[in-house]
Amino acid sequence: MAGRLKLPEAALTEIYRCFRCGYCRSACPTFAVTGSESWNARGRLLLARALLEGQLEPTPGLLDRLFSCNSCLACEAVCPAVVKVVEALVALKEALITSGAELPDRIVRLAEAVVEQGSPFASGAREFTAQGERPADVLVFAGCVTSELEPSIIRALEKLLDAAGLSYSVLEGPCCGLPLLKMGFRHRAAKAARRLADKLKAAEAELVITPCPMCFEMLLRYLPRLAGLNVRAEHVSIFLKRLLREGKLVLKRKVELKATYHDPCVLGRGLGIYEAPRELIWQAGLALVEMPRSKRSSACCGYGHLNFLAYPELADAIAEERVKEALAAGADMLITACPSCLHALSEAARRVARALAVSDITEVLTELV
Amino acid sequence: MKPSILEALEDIVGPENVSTDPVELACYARDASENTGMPDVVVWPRTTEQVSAILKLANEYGIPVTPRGAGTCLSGGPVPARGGILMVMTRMNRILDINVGDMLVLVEPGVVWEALNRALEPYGLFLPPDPASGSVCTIGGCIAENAGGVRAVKYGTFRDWVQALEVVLPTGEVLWTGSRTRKCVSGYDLVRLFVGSEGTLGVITKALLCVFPRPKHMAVMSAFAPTLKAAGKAIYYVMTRGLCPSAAEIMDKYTLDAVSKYAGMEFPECEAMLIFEFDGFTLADVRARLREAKKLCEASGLRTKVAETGAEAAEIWRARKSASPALARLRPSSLHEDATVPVSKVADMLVRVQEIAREHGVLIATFGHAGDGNLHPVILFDGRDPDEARRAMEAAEAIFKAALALGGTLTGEHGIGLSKSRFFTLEHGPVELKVLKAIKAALDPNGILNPGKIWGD
Repeated sequence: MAGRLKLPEAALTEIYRCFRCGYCRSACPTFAVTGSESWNARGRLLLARALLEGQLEPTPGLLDRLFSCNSCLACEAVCPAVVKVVEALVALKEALITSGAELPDRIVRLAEAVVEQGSPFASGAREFTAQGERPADVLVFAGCVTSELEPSIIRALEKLLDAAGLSYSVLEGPCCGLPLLKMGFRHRAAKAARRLADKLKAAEAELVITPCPMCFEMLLRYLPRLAGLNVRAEHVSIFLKRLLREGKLVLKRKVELKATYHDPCVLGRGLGIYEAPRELIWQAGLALVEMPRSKRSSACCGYGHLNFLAYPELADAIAEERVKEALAAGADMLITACPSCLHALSEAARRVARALAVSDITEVLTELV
Repeated sequence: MKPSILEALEDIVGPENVSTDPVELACYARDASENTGMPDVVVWPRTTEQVSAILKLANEYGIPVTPRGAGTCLSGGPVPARGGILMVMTRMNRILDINVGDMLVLVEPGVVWEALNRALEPYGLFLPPDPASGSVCTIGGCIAENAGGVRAVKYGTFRDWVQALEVVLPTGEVLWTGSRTRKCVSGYDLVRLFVGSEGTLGVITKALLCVFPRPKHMAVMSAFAPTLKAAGKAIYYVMTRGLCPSAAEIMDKYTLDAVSKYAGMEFPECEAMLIFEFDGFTLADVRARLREAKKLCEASGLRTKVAETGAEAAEIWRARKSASPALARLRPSSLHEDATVPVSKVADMLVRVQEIAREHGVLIATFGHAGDGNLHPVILFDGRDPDEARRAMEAAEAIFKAALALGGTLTGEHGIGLSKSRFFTLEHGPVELKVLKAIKAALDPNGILNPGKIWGD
């Protein structure tokens, strides 16, 4: 194996910058539920070294440790050496894929489904055409998780757009490709991105909004690079905040409940959006109580970057920790701004925190217009 | 390792608490130091009885056992130098009792420092020694390494807060030693023998710790010294006038340069920045002590700045907390030392460290707990360049020798472990070494517990 793995110099620097202080033990969600070092950021970087130096082979067990990383960035928020762990691990996974390492079955199936069917939720190849007015003021891009698992977010958004008197069309699916990129499938991610770019071009929208932070990151950061397309894109939290500010959307009622907000990793740590969703919660009249882990130190829901499809047991255990934290904070309601988080947390609440209502911020606002 | 031993271990702790997976072993071969040692098996005991059974087994078959907490050690303490069994204590992590009346807590060794302090908060109590790794390090590890931290300047190190211990000896026998009373002259002080023994004398399975009321008020100031000598003078005055600061920290100009570069902070032109914090139970007392310290700093030629608001205090602390991350950005590799000198020798040591940096052609930035002489010279280098790595190691050795020459010690709070065992006899004479080895042999006749540490072989 040694010598066959080619990593960019920048990634090597990050891997070797880790001085193994272990502070990531307080942050890494997979470590929190397994309690063993190989599922921690520090462990993963040690495994990276062992692979690079030829001490270990990329066995299925080792690859599981690498691919089970949710790319949630929690480790980076506490790292005193400021190691770019996610970037380094993505580069390593890319190198492993290029070298022909035998990947975990579930990861392979997931990547194939995205490329061949446009969605990891295999339901046969689909067309994915935007439905609605054309040209429209707004295109709602609902990626794979939103349209397959949490379509109520789309209905909520439609209602909000109607209330604001805006014309819109809706593009349900395909997968934007971002999870593939984080898993190290650069070429397949680029394919998915190009397919998305074609659909977006065909929809001819001024502005693309999406409820999914991962789709948003794809539109914002990677679509220009991977598919040569620049679109004006907004995450719904920013978009709805603007509509409220401009008076285009008026909330007619308020809910008087205690709510807490779960910062989605990609939206918060990834893109620095912490305040917009909180302002929406405040405007809805909810009393916001923060969980001990919030904003930059927010805990992962476990479902990031489609990892729950490959590692469901880990993902569910992580999600359960989070809903328990919300309950302990004294919240009646757990609000988030991401379909994956919504899915993770509402399913977990059903299992271990039945008193907790879990909603996406769009669903909360829809009830109030 | 023989299959029969592994089967016996699985019988003791259950198969889910044993791993021989090479992927897992590789991740347990390191701590935060440069040392490496591959275990043959990792076990996670959950009870004292299991720890005892594991040690009996290991003692019978002569298998090395290395205890480990969170693996944040900076000297190789939890690195299994001779392979064998790595015993990870993190699944014994219950807080067993919080006794507010006697201000005592009883915990298992795997309790994380921060979790314990969070549990004490509602009672208005805290455990004062505050290792930088508090968010993750375990109480067992803190005791085994006699951890310190910023507040040690006022509150002492873990040694001062451990009241009694349950320890499993390398033979598997279980010992309870210490008292629930603050005063106790009943027999040798075995508690203090186990504190700081770096996991070589026994495995801590329960700890009775004293805790303290959380101070209600705090005041913070920074001071900027034109020379290292002036900085040393100010520290000495503040420390010897009974002002009891709860923090007396220093950052030299190399550290400050890194912090301004990477944390976007600006500092006045100076050779070193000092931070003094005072805590207490009345505002008047805290302020009076701060005022006195300010006067002493100014009389030593330092420019001072008192934090008037919580935000200003946080900003001063941000500078200190940014030291490690900022320095980590400067060069790819670093050696974090903790050579410690008497408080009157802090300035001499700071000057000496810079001479050593020049002599060896490496960059050394120093920050640390100036008030108790516990400095952290960080040697920055590129480990991929063998010549520079060699010079860095030589500089480290020179730093140890300099600290000893000034009447100090090799290590204030990180432990000897593997990293400094080569230098151990520079600090300890043959008679003392003989006594240490006799104690070790009395408790661990077969030398199975954490072999290769402190004085090496």
